[in-house]
Amino acid sequence: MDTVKNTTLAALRNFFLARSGEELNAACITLANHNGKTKDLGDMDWEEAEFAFNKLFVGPMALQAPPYASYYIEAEPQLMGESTLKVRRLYDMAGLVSPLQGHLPDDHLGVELDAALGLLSMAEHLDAEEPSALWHYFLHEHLQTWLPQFLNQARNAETGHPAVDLALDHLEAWFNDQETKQEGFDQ
Amino acid sequence: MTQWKKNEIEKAMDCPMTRRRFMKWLTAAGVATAMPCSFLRSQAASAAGIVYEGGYETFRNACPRNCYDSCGIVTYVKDGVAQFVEGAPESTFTNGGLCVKGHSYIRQQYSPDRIKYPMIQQGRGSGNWKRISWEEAMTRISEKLIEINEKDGSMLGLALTKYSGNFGITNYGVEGMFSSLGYTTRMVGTPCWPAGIDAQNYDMGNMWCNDPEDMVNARYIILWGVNPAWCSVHTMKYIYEAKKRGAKVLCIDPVLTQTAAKADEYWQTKTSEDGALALGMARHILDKGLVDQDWVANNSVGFNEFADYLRKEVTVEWAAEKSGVPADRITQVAEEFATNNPATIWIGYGMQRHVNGGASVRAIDALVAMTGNVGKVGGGARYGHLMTWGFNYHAMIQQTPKGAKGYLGPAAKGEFDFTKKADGPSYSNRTFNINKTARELLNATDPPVRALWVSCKNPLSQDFDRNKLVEAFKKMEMVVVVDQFFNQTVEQADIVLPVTTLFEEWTVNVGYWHYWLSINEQSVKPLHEAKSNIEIAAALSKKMNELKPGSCTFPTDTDTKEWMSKEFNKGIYDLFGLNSWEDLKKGMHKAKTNLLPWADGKFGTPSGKYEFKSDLCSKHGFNALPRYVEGRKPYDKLRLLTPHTKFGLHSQFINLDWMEDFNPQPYVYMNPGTARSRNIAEGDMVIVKNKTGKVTIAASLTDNVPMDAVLMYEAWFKNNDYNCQNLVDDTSADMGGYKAGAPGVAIHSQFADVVKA
Amino acid sequence: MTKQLGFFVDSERCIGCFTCAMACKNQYHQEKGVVWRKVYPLKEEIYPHKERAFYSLACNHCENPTCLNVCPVKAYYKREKDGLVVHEQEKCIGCGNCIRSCPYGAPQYNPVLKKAEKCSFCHQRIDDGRLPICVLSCPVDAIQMIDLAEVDTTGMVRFAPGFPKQPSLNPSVRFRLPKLPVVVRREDL
Repeated sequence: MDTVKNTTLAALRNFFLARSGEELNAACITLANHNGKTKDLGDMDWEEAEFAFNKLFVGPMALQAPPYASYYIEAEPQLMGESTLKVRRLYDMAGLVSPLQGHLPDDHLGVELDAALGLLSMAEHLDAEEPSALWHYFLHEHLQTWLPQFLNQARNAETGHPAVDLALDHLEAWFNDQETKQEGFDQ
Repeated sequence: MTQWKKNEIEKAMDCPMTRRRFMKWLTAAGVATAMPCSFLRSQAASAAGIVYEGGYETFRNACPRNCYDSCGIVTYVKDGVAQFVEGAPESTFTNGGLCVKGHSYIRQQYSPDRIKYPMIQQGRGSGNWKRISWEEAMTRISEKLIEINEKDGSMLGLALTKYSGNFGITNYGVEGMFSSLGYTTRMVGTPCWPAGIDAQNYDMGNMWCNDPEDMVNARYIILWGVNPAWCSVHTMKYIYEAKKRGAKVLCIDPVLTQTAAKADEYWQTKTSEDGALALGMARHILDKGLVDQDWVANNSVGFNEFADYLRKEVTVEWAAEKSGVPADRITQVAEEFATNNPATIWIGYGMQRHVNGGASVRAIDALVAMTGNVGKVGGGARYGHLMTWGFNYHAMIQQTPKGAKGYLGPAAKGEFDFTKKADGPSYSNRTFNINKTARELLNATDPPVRALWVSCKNPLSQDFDRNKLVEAFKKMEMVVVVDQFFNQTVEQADIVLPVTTLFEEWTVNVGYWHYWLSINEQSVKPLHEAKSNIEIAAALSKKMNELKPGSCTFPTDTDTKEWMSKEFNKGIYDLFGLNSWEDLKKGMHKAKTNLLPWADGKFGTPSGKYEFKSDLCSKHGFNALPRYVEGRKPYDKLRLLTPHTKFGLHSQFINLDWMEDFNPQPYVYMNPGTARSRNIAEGDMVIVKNKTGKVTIAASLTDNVPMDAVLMYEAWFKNNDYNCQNLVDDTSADMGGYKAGAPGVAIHSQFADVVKA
Repeated sequence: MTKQLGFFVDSERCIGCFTCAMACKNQYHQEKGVVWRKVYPLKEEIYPHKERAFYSLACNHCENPTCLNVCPVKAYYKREKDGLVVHEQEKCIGCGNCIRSCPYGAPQYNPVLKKAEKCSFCHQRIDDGRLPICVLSCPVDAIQMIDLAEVDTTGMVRFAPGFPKQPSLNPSVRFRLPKLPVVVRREDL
């Protein structure tokens, strides 16, 4: 796997699991260094970024863009839906388990990006058909069913911030790249 | 990906056995590759945890809300996720079903809007929140509490406002936490029912109602200012059964409620004139010689004085004029009530939320007593009871730290405080009337209230004189709110702490109407970082003692299951016929005794009898006899009523989107005549306003509401700043100071006018 | 007559509490706006007090269901053992025929799945020996499960006022109508 892509994916995971402005900052630095380009993040107000991030993805008020798959996939927006459990089972098949199972929904974007990292790494390094089949399934039968809607909701939300835009852009770019790659894979 | 691969994956996903086989390649290929996952963990080779296949695990929960019905719940869990709920089938009261609110619990549990983490607001009301760890939250709070102690030499600058948001017994650990910090400021009293509690205490020596399930035996039922079709749906079946057996049901209410539509007869009555109406009936019963002389002679004191009063100052015509109910109905029903035994009156809490509420309850009690219906199966002046609440209150009773200083003077006690007064120093908590929270917080001095802790309550949605409360909040140096949703009080908090739902903690529950007991098991893990109130107390205590040893005596290690079991004692076991609390895992249990109050004629009054004439009541500044007391003089054109809706319990449930399917928006209900004279049509936006504040809302026209009143239901809608408390001032009800810590509040003694928006 | 399960809608006992409607949501978690059981307040022409009498209605599991008859892919079938009309959502193509043809509004469109769906009479619960969740949860037994082949329908109304009269479909539902209280209004107003 592309090491650069790997680091981008890891930074995206860190972004969406961030608990503070500092963690957002660290994740964005990695993202901005993508392809060797250095973007000037110096002017960013990381406190404002944190406020915006929380309004969009964390709370305490109603989330503007909930980062959970089941919110978009389920017939009705809720947490811990059937799709959450499907994702849990998929992790199970890859030998992975969330340490916060039951507390943090398994289909939180940050957890899913972590799973993506794991599956892609397995597909690359292990001599077996199954990991790439699993990754392919995860990408096409799961991520594809909700990430575009999430991106749309996040972009159209009332609250915005350039740091969030940076992450959303990278997320979309990575996702599109994966989709194109996978189509080629079948051939 | 080839089709067979996709199907194979999906099939494997559904069954844990095939899932494991699919994974064979992991062990074959060698798992030792460094995994870039920083969050997900590799599983141990052996199966971890419960694997759920097909069936559900069931757990017992109990609805901990402030409601007559206090339902037992059976929760169906699969894969660690609560899927759906049913009502407890073995309880004859719950009888397999909940209500529209109870059946929306799964939605409350898994709402994406639930508060997930401790958070701190940068600038109260700004909407700019940062996530903090529990550690950091406890540190910030502890530092503030220590600062308060240093500034004032006591913890009186820390105040608690808490009431009935969660009646699980272990949640009294919040009060316990406060005691364990020192002597603090407590909001005491209740907006609910205190005037009536005192009234029943003056008359009978306790608030103690019959088992509601015995209502099937009544021959005559008066539902007075109570709306069980909305607020106690499970009791309706007993009323229906009584009707089936030939009982007559009369509903008395200013509004034609759902209950009124199900009664045999409905009396539209003038708000707060219920005392006059009851006394008018009493006068007629006296005149007709229908008093139960034997019962009165053997079981009461003061009846002759009461009879004198009736003869001198009460007539049926006067009662008809005061209440608006025709004299011929008053006389006929009075005779029916007196001659159809057992007869019973269910006195509603709405009925006593008036400046003369306590006095009205005493008059209605007298009606039941003089006809010999007290102490009879199927009879009684029904209001409520606390007979099944004899727990240990282990969570509530904590020691104050050594050397704690407090308030010099007596402290008032709330009606759910069963603790005994300890011997020792004369310090106590400083107590304020919870019904005047805004005023008390603003005026508190020496020391002022510096920090406010809010739990099981939503003052900015529920409390009175809202504009004043907003001012009061501004005065606070720190506001900590413990809650599940981002409501109007959380909006004005500095720190919000996520609390567990009923599914996420162990506790035990009883009710104040029926006589059943239910365990509440933890059925799922707390979502995100939610903690129960006692775990929050433990965490605070740990941090307090780290920063200042000895500053908090609350145990630093708690377990909700262990603490639940500590609430049980021999009294509870005997009352419910239990060997152990574990028996409750199989279902709810009903009390074996205490179901028929006053049958032995031994009242809890000073005289030991029913007191038509109560010297104690007089001593407390009221009338010794249940004399008529005037209601509040109108200060605006229309009576304003703000009762409870079936769709919510205060500010809970109505905000859920499941509930929005059935109850999408608030209305002000007004009579078509009232609307016409103001040029208001059905659905028009109107402004309801009075001296206290205003509300903009859509109008719904109906003659269920009389021409001289308007009605709005108290509720918190999700994306709507509607709040009827904008118009309710904090005028006190007459009684409540005796047994409930402070006088009640005259919620329905309010007035307003309406204009087209 | 062969066994035909249906609902007895006792509008006299019904207090319009919406417990049945929410119990159904609690069991099946339908999408917002898709409501299998609705509680309809009776119009003031039928019952003079606004929002004080109701019919709780879902699917009537008709003897001759129009949904089944108009479905182009046979996504509906009627159970022989108890007459319940079951919709197999996997087969549904979302054409909308059933939605348009049912006079009771039972089949509704699920915009996320782009298919129809309706009250199932909780047939999975029935097969497990349980009651439909609406019937179980009603606090006043105003919704009851009846077998039209066996039940004593004396005093029951077949087509209650306001309920679409479709004898050719023969809906498996019976009613009791609500009574009125004696209303004594204030003399001073």
